[in-house]
Amino acid sequence: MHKHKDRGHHRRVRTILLLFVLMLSGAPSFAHPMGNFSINHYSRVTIKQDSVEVLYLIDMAEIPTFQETRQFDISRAVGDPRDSRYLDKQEQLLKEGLSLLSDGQPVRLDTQSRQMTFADGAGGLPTMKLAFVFRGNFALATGSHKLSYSDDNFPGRSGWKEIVVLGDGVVIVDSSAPNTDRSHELTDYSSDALSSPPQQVSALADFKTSLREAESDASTQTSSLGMVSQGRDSAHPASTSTPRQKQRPMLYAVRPTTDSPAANSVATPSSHLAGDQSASGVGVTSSVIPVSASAHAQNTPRSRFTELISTQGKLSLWLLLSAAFIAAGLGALHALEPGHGKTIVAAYLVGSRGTAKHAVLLGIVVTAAHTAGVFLLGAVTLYASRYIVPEQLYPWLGVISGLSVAGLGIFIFLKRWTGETGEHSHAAGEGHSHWFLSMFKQAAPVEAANGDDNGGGAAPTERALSLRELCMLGITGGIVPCPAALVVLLSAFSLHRIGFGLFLITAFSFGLAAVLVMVGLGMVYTKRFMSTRVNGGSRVLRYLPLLSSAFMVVLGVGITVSAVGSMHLGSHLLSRNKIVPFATVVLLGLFLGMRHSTDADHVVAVSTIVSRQGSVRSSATIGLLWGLGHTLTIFFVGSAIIIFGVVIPPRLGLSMEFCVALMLILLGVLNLTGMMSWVTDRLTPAKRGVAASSQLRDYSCHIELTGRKKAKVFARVQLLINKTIGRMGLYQTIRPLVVGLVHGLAGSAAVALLVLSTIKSPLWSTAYLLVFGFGTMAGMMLMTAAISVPVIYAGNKFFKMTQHLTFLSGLASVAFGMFLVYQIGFVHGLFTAHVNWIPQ
Amino acid sequence: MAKWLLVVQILCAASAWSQIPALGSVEEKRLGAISETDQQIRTLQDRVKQAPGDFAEYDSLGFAFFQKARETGDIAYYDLAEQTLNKALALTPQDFRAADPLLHMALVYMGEHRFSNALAYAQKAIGTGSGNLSAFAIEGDALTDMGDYEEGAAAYNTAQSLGRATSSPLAVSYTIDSRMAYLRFLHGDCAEAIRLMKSAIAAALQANIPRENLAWLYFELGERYFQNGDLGNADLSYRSGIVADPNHYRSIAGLAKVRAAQGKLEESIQLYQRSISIIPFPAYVAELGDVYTKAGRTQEAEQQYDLVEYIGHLGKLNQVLANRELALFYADRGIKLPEALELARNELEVRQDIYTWDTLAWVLYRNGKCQEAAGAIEKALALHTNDSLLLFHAGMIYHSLGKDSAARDFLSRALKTNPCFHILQAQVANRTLEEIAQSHNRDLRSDNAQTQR
Repeated sequence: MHKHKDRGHHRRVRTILLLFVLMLSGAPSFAHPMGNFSINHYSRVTIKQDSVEVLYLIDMAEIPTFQETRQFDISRAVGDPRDSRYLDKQEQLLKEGLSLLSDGQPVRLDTQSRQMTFADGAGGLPTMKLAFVFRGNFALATGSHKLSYSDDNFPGRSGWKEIVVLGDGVVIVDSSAPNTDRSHELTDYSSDALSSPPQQVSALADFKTSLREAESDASTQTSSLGMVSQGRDSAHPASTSTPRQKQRPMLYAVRPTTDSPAANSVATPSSHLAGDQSASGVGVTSSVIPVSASAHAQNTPRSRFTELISTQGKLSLWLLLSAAFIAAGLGALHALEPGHGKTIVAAYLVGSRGTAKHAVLLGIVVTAAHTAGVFLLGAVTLYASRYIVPEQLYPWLGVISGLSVAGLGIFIFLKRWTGETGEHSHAAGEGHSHWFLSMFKQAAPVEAANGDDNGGGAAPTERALSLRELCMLGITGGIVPCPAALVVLLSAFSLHRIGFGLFLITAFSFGLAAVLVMVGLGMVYTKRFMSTRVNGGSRVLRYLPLLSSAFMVVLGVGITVSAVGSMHLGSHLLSRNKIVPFATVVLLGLFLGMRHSTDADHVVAVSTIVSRQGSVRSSATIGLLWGLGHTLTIFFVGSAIIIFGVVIPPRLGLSMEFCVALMLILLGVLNLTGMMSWVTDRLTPAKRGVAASSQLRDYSCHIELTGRKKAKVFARVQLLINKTIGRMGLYQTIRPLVVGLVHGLAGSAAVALLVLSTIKSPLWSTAYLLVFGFGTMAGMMLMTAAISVPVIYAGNKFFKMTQHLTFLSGLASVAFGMFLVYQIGFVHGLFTAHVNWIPQ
Repeated sequence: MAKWLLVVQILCAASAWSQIPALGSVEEKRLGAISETDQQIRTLQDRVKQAPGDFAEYDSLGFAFFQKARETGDIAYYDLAEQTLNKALALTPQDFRAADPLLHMALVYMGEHRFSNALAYAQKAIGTGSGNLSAFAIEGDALTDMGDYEEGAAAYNTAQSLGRATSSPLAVSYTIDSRMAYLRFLHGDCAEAIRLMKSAIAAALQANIPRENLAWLYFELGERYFQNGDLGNADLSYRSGIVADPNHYRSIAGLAKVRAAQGKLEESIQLYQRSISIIPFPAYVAELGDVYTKAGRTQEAEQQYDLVEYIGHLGKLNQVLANRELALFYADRGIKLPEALELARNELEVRQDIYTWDTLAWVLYRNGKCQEAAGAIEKALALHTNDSLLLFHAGMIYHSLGKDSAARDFLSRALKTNPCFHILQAQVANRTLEEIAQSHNRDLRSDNAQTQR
């Protein structure tokens, strides 16, 4: 909600600035605004209980005025019979051009009054204004009705065409025309690029009549011009309808010009207007239509929650309990919506050695933090609002919480990666060292990972840390208060129901916490369940926490980014224009990577690898390599487009997409004919025996013992790469790389253009290409890992199923490839003369 | 068998008949509802308000305002377009993405007759390296309107060769053919001009261009036909323009011109009035006055002529874009001749195309400066354009200088190309030709008499 207000405020400032600039820079406008030959229309339709009144104004510029005066010999002298004849004629003509329908039935309009005025325009040449008040009677039953009004006079002629619809004694439910008068009855033609002259020639309105008389007696007595009274809305406790002042009936004004208005008015007073008009015509004041403001309860967030604070009546115990119940329920619902860190909690609990106790503790911490946050913000709003604007605090809170979540995620990830926590054995086969945490232990000796059990040494530190982690997570997760809760607090203050407000907020937070606790408990029990079912599944239990902490990191970064994005930082670097596309680009990359992970050939490769190695890490590596190839192509082609302005001719672009299609067909065919599996089988090395892995372990020990930290890290990385490639074989390493490269060809132009369209400088755009690439890599990795997990479980039991899967995916690949060929070849015209390429 | 053939024939005839838009139905198609340009403007304004940093939206909004200015002739919209496009240019990065706002700005300047500005912006757009066809096309337009015909043709040719390499034949056809058609007409090749115009229209019908633009193309085709003397096809073209855009005041005025040439004066008057009720373009107001004169309704004719004068008076205050038309009007009516000369000379400073030279020549002629007029008309005829009005002016000027053989040549060519090229001037041309013939015969007779003596 605060974001909405910011945007609106921003927009208003811009409009004001624009108008200001216009005022300063605009040439003095002597002439009739809207051009010398324009004819401007204004209709004010006032709907009453038993009639409709239309104030119809026509303002003619210099040229049409001249035409009319010449054609009909108008003299502009007061009381000239020719003029009233002209007025008669015009009244007839113009009335015919208007059509008013009530519930589909035409309403006949009778003239109540009419007037003709002249004013000076450009160079002293006259302009003419005609005013009519038409009235149409109808008899309507109580209920909803429709009104339709249209103005067909002077079609095609340029001009300001405005319609205003108001209700007098009826309630306008919906209307296609506004109820605010922009031009003040054609006296003020201000317009700018964002609010250009209105061109409305028809209006539809839904209105409701009621049994009440509602000032209608008074309204029929006085003149029909310019009278508005506000009907009361049905009782809404939050809205207070302000009583409108009854306007004196006023004539429209003569438009002020630079010269003194030499206005001669020819007036034909109607029987109603006796004595009410100041008919001399010079310097008549204008009537201003008051803006009717109806309260919009819909704008308040979570209105059901906020309504609770304003419940009428005494606070009986029953009321208290039910209110608390409702508040808790709303809090729970709110927690189920995206964006209160449930995922964070889940991720955390999966990642750490979570027990049920931890889950409950986490929930309590979140509740406390949330309530505290609301109170803090409320205090700031009430007492420190002169110094700190609460709307500015929100983004900062978001940033802090995002950063801490991300930091925590990274911390846990690294801990997991180096095998620091959880039940694990230092048995042979999983060489690792506790190098990460060892960085925190100052004087601790370097661990020798050759079989000693270091669990005892690590345990006490770990428990203390995890409690700290838990509290930090709880606080940062709960610190960002919901706007709804803030509103409740503030309303509580203003309604002098502070105790009740606090009570409601606590109940709300309780509901929020309950959901989080349940989510956490669910995670804990699922993990336990899985660990009992899957034996020797230390692999899964090892990598799931890694995944979840990686997820936490991503979420934390996302929260930070969006918080920063909403901050309106003046800095050019961190401007919203850069952050929002940054987030979009990353997300886009992620999703693209995830989508491509379901490609046929990729699924085949993954399933083969995993069934061989049974290792999630290998499949993740495949995904990574694909992403790498994709990124490389996109980066090179994209930066060529961005930096060197290379324009890809349509034929080339289509040919690139065509290559992808061909590749898809090829891979699908290979799949179907079973060649793919055969080839993959042959080129993927079999599972290594124990001896080989122990050899590797010895090698790693050797590295550990050399001592220097930097060399250790580097050597570790090298070892990792050797291990991975060695396991998978060269074929499996190169293939995803090549496939990724080819896919990158197809998409690079599109991505480059997308990035370009949102970011200005070429350097940043190239940087974002890289970011996008990383996004694809991450997405691909995650998805691939996710796909491979069930395959691991399926193992040999569901071999047939995987065979069917690969068959299906092969078929889909061929079909899709052929469809692409058709589209590229014929629809986009690669094979024909007309090439029509729009990068998607 | 014959029965079926007959049925098929009737069906074909019926479908062909239904293709020709009837005038009556055209009358009913007035547009009172909100036009698509207005809707576009509204949508774009909302989008701009939501994303105030987005230059592309500002650019689209500026272009929409420009369209509205074209449709309504209201120069206030040119101002709005300029503002919005300046905003867009301030936000756009300085690379090929700036091509579109620069081009749209060039279009706005073209509309305001600020040709050198338009040229500068079009060239800037080309300089961004976007390879945009329209950039070259607008550059060519600016050059052509200013009288640099060679360079204009070069720009169009560049656009064509670029288009062949990078874009579809449809786009090239739509963008370039109509402009080439005009150039071909200026060089005197009417048949080629008509062919190119038709191909442009065919391409335009496949693209989704705004109504007003399509109507403009039909109007241009109608003008070519009319100038060629082909009233039937001109009739059809103008009517197609009206079908494309019922509020296209030029097409309506064109049809009115055809009706007047066909002798249907009442219809012509109605059509002119309709055109003027949309936009009171001074040239068409003057033409209506001429039709009234032909019909013998002198009082109404006077009213129209007064209106043109009135617009001219406003023009001084508001820079209305009709200098040439007003100058010609004053010259034709023989009123305010010094003012007309000033207008013509002012226009010549801005652009030196053949029609401005023609206007200057005619005004000079009416002002009595026939030698200067001859010099000017020579420049106007430099391209050997087959425009009856130009030829008529030339004929009259040479006649006033006594060069009757040249005068006879020009006047007869004018009448041959289009015997009804102007509702009042055609008669003048005929009369002058008769005078020349008579005086020639007199001379011959006197010569003969002399030789006989």
